[in-house]
Amino acid sequence: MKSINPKIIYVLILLVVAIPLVRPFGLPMMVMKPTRDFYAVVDKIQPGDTVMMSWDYAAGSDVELGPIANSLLIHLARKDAKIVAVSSIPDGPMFAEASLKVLEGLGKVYGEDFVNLGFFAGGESGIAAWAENFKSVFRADWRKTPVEQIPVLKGIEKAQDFALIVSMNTGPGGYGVPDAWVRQIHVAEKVPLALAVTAIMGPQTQPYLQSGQIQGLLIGLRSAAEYEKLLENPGIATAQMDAQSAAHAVILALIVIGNVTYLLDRKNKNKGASA
Amino acid sequence: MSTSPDVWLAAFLTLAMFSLAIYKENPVYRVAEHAFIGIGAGHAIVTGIQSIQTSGWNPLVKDGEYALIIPMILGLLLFTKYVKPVSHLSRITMAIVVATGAGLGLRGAVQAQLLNQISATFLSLNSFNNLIIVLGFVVGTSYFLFTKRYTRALEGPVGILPKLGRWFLMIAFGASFGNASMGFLSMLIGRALFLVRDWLGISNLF
Repeated sequence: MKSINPKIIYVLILLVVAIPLVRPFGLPMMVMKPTRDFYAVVDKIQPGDTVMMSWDYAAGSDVELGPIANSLLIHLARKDAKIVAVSSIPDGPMFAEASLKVLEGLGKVYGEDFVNLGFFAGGESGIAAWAENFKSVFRADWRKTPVEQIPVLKGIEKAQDFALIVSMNTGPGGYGVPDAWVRQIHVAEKVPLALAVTAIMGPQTQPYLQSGQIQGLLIGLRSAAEYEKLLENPGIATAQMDAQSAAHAVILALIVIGNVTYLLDRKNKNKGASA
Repeated sequence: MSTSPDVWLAAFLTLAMFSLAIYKENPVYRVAEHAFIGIGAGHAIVTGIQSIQTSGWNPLVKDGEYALIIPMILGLLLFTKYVKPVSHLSRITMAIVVATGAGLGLRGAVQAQLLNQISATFLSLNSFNNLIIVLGFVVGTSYFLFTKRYTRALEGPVGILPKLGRWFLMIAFGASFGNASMGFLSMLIGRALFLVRDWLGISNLF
């Protein structure tokens, strides 16, 4: 096992991941409490409420956060909420545009039901600035229409005008990290905040949920699949969970084999030394 | 199989990236890597310029918001870093950026990352989860008591606390590592799905 070529493991993992994507196993999946709680928070949104969603991720995190964004948009559309899309990183608006197509498919109208305001500079300073004076930062949308001409933004002057703010966040490396959103939106503005983060960011974001500083937390592809299940709208995340489970099974098997062969090697060496 | 040139280009770039792991560093991988970085940087520059245009230049020139000249000048001062005789001027902007960031961060940091987190550990010990949180907090903190007075206090039977704290930290790091590997696998799955569904067309998943 020690002498195994790592490339063999890479190819094995690639194959194990690809097979369920071609022919899914349909493994059962349980919905965890944090996802149910997040769903309940979104479910409380009233028709006509305005929700801000921030696409704080780039290409590397789209596979995990893209399905979450799509599910949240579907849920919010079902609740007849108005949606304001923003992004604290330059790549974000592109992904927001791609996700917002879901709303067009559901008959929602750009400008009246949702809008993409694009990138805001400054990270935490930017959040603090629009939280106090929305139009000082956002003067036109991603399609260059002045904000005064966009019906969905009528009455939006500050962060408190949103019923809920959701940041889909890639974490360090981004400009508006989860900590910044908690500091500026929950602590300074007392506005309900929820986060959707990549699996890597999960453990360090969880204390914010446990301490009640965020209303909900979705972590990676697994949460995305669970949310699709709650929406009874299986999608791309559900499809990918079989591949995730299969890859984990192989990795666990490799860990066990590696450890067993290591212990056997050590035992044989000890025997050889004592003989 | 897809007939779209975009999909073929994306598939080529994906396979070029995989070639590093499966084969070795090679020119095709280098091309894909450099293209990725170049496109990312180019896109960030364009978005940055657009942002300056909509929130700075247009209001200044078209709407006569002359106060915006101050941040515009401060922004330009950053570029003096590349002109040696006046490079010190860039420090003015940097100082303002750092001070504003620190000030804003501090506004919420004490409450969000200290007080609220500590108060969230004051739990009644009526469930296993609460017990784990309280125990983890106490023993985890004890591991970071380094001053002589406290380390002496943690000798003897209570010496178990920092040892237990180390176990809790290791479990937390393990959870982080597990999540990290899950995140990387998700990226691989995303690309594999693209290859089998969008490029090869042998998967009919969504």
